[in-house]
Amino acid sequence: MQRGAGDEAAALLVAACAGKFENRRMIDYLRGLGIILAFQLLGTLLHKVGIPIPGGVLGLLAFYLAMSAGLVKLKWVERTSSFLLRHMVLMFVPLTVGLMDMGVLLQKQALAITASLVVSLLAVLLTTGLLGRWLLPPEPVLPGLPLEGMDEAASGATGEATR
Amino acid sequence: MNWMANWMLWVRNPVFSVALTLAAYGPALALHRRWRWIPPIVAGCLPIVAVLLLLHEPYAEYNRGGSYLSWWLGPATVALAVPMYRHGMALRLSLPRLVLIVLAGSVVGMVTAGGTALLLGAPLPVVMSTVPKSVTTPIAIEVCKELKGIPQITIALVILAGLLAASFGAPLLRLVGVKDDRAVGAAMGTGGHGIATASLVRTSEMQATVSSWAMAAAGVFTSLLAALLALFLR
Repeated sequence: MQRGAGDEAAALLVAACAGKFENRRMIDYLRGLGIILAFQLLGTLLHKVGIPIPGGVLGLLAFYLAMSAGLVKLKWVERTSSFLLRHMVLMFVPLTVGLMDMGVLLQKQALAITASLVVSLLAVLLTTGLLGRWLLPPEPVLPGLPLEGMDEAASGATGEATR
Repeated sequence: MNWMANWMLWVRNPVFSVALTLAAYGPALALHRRWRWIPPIVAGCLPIVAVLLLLHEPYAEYNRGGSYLSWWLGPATVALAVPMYRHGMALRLSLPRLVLIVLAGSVVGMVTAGGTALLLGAPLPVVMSTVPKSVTTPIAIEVCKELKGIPQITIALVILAGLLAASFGAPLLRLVGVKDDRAVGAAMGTGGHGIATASLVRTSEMQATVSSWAMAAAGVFTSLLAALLALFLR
């Protein structure tokens, strides 16, 4: 029994080395990660230099500009970015666990926090929704837009919509 | 060495925190897949809190390892540029107006959240923690830190805002006569970030596309506005 498991593990290792585990996809992930980390580094540097915007957001803006300028192709980074966004919940679990130390503060401020949440949520939804109804042209006609592009964009929302 | 006697050393190793978090996250995802109404963040955190309480392990010790996972929120923020760019391409004709709408929504969100907390007499760090509550978690945390708020409070508010928007946002918008798919998407993405966006995916592709874009854009606008606010407060 023990040997069986060991043999299996060895076989898996050999298969992995032989490229049976879609090495290309792995390289795709690593390329995307390299690019994203490079932009994060850039954003962090800009933040350190004194721009009072979070480094991640500066990285996001630089990344967006690079894609608009065609310096970075969408297909280089799609896989990694949708992986990172899909598993964002895992990344904020440790911080959320910190709520366990905040019972007293939360109890004392419960009313202010809850009221602020409800009032602000209603305000945002109504402002944005009504403004959208007022400002956006009634017919969503987008001439010259390739239909496949739309499909791709919408299906991408499934993967990228983070929880 | 008798490692059973030194089990505390194992618990104190950062690897333990990471392993514990991963071990809680996997089943949390499975539960969410089976029962959609269970938020994975809640199902992921509860077992960790239980284990820490059981082991009498302080949060600060756990977070030494946990911070290795939190660090990835930075790359996740940068990665938001991809849906923003791609959906921005699909929406390019309505983009200038959408920018205006989402910007207005972000301003209103920040002012009403902070204003309500301030009026009800909350201390300044709590007020600042409520300001970024509409935007996606990684950006909200960073904005909260810039404003010297308490990140944990922000996270709790962000999650609750997302869950409330996902459950009541669409009916509320219908009630006030907002029917345009782009308007609904913009409102849901600006007010309820990823959680509300995910709830639209099965309703309408257009709503989900606008919502994904609006969520990223609202994050960017809110951090720019927060930078102004921080300058003003200084």
